[in-house]
Amino acid sequence: MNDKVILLVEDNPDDELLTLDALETNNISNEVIIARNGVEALDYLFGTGEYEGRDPSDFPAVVLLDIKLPKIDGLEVLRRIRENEQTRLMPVVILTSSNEEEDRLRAYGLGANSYVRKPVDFDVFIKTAGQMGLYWILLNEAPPK
Amino acid sequence: MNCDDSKLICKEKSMNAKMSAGEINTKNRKDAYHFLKIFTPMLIVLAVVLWIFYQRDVTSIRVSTGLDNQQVIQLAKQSIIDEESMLHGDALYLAGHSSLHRWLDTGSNIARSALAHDMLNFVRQREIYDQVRFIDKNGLEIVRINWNKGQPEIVSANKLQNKANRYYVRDSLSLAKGEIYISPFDLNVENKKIEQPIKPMIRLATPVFDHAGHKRGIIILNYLGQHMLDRLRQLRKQNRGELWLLNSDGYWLLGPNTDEEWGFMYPSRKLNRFNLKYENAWKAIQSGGKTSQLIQQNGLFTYSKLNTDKIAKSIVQHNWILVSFLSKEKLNTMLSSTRKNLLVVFMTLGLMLYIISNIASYYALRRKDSETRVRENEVRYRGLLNSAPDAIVTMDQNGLITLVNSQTEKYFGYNRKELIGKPIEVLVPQRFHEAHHHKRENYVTAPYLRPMNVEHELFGLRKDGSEFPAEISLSPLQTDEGLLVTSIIRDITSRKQAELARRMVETRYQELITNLPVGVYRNTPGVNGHFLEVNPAMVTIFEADSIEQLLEHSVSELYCDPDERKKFSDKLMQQGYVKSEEVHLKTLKGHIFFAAITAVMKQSKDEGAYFSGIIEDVTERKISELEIIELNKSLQNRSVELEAINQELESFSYSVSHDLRAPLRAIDGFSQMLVSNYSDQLDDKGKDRLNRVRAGAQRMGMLIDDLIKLSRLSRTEILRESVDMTQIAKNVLEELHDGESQRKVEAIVQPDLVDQADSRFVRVIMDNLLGNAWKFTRQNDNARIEAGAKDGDKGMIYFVRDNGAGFDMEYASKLFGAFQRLHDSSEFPGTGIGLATVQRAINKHGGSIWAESKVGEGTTFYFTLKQGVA
Repeated sequence: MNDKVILLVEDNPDDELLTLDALETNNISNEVIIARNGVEALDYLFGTGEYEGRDPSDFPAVVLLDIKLPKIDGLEVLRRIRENEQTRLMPVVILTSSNEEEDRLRAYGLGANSYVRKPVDFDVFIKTAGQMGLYWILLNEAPPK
Repeated sequence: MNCDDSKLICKEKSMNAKMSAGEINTKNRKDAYHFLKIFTPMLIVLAVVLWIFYQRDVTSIRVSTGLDNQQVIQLAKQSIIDEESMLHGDALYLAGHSSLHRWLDTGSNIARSALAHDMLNFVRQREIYDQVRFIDKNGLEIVRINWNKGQPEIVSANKLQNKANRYYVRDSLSLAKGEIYISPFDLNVENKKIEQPIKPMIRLATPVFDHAGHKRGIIILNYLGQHMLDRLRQLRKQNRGELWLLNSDGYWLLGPNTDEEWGFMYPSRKLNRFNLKYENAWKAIQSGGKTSQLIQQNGLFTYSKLNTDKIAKSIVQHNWILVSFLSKEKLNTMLSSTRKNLLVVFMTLGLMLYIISNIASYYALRRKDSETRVRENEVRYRGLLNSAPDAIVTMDQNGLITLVNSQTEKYFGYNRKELIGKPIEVLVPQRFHEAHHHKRENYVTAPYLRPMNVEHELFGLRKDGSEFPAEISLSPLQTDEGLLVTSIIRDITSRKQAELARRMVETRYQELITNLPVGVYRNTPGVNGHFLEVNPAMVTIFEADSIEQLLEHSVSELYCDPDERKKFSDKLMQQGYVKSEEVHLKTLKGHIFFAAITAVMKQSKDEGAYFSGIIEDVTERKISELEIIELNKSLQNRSVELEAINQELESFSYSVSHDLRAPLRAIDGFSQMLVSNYSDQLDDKGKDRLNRVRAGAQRMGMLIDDLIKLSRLSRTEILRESVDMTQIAKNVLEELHDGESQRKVEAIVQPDLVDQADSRFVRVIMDNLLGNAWKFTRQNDNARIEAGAKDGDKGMIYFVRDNGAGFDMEYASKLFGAFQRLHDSSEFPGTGIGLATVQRAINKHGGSIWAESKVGEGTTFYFTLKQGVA
């Protein structure tokens, strides 16, 4: 396990808790930064606002990005990440309740690395979170800086 | 030549000019043929005539030549006879000369000298004697006179010879008084040589007696034969042929040339004999009469045999033969001029004949051409007659039929023979006979050209007694044989029918116009235009009392605004037509209404430009249109609303899928946490209740998913393309098997099922139907799932069959309702939305779905993907 952080962009506190629990259940102990809306997420990633001074080139291991978000929605966040020269190679996984075709299409169109649907069944959710954590934290090699 | 003729000729010329080479050849051949036909016999006749002339000429030439020759022979003969008789006379004269007798009496020298002188004179006078001698009976020459080439001389006594031993002296001394010895005609020989130039010679001798009657000597005359021969030659010159004198041995005394003469005198000329050269002629002469003519191969011979004893008593038979010979060549030469003349005549006449023949053949051809033309005209005329669409009947002044054409036979049902010679009335119905007869007689007295269709209807009577309406024209023709009347009869049955039909059409059309609910009119253009014609509907539309009343009003009066009438009229004049032009009109009673006018502008000779059109009161329609516009507007509003609702619905379903799941996840997730983290604080019942909470949440998640699918399906437009049904079914079955690989299911999919459909929808259909089959066969050890299709009326009927649990057909109607389930969810879990989704997907294709099932035996779902199939 490395010490990379995971950025979880999730407005629903229940989901946030469930996600954190699922990661914990799977023994993924990396620090999880929570952003409760798009603006927060972008501030963190670009080192602006609340996160003034943070090095934007210090990528999280993965960004778990919900689509439906207050202020700036997930897909817009994704678009800005990919627009920005510093963050464009950042691994971004869409983690959402939606399985609308249109959402999937737009997400991939904007350069999402994965699209994962949050299952209702918590057992399945735990499994999903575990596999995701394992993959992005352990298996995946981050892009070179 | 009049104008027409010249035109005709011009036409002919131009026609000739247009003739092709082939035609010209044919014409030339024809010309040549005609020419030869005339020329050849004439030429032959000419040749024959000239030949006859020629033959006659030949004959006459022959005859005349023969006569000439005979004459020449005769003349020659006479000349010889004359000569000889002169010689005889001379001999006898000298024998009886007084000087001689004086000497005989005296024997004196004086007497002898006188005798010599007398004889000298004689010789000088005669010029034909070479020698004249008196020889005494002892053979001694007493007097001898030599001619001495024109210088006669008395031979002196010392030169006188004794000729006693000469044959002629001996022979002569033996003659009686008055007898004359004539020697053969030969050449004089001096000193045993033929004297040159030759001297043909005949010697005559006669004895001399004194008064006492004693023979005292002989007188001998040497006659210069040349003299006689010269006379013959003289004759020969006048003769066209040869004139020859032959001796009895056939030697020429006078021959074709001097070389051939006197053959018997010259040993080298022994063979120059007539009888060798003209053997046949010689033989014929020998065996022939005294005088005759022979035509031999080599020419014409005319001859006469001369006997000296005819003239006098002579001891030598000369038997000379005078022959006149005209050789074939000579004869031909004589004929050749005739031939030449005749040839010239032949050529001249031939040339004339040639010209005459040419002219004759030209005129003959022209006549023939004109005959041909007449014949062709006749053929054409006949053809015309027979191909004429009308019956043509010619009758004479007595009303008897003289000629009919084929159409007459067809019209009347008679054949030609049945009609010729019959009165024309056989073709007229009985009831008109009398009138017809009367009219005909009138007509004959004053014939005129009567065109068709001038009199009231006429009828023809057919052989079978039926009649037909006819039009008849009459045209008189005065001929040598009297008046001929040609009538052309036209069967107008079909025209009558056509007229009737047309009248019916007109009537119907008129009725249509009258009964039409729309106004039909004709009027004149412009603001001051007025109606020419209106139909009853116009009266109604304009609330007039009658058509007449309406016609009295100007058109402008019917417009609410006369300017509109002007605009309308201008537009119609400009465009020529208007279509459904809407105008504001008012009735005579002042009611305003909307009218649609469709009209065209027309030109008529009598009335000039006019408008023809229909008027429709469209007030109601106009109102309806306005209503429709209103309705459309509200409809548009509605559809905007609907669009908004749809939008809402979409965002609603999105929210449902997204937002409703989050709380469910929370319920499930936290329940799970409770179960796993706080199990020690929960009894079994508590745990069970928490698990039920979780199950409920999860089921609701599934319900939401299925509902979203259903709603998404409903919102999706189908897109037909070629879909491999077999492949989709196989994929679905594979996935099902992958999910439950421990199950043994016999799955059969019919191969090669391809249809036009939306593949996404087909996938949903197969997912659900095969998923159901998979699910409901779960309790069957010999599970069998079959997917296939059969031919329906308009396309394929697909089916998915299983041998699973089946259902009671009583509830079949509820099968496709959303949330409807026919099985316990504990036994066969499900949301009850699947078949509703399937039905929606199939309905989207215009197809239908139905099921057959039996509890415990299985279910078969049938569906189609097109409207009207099954």
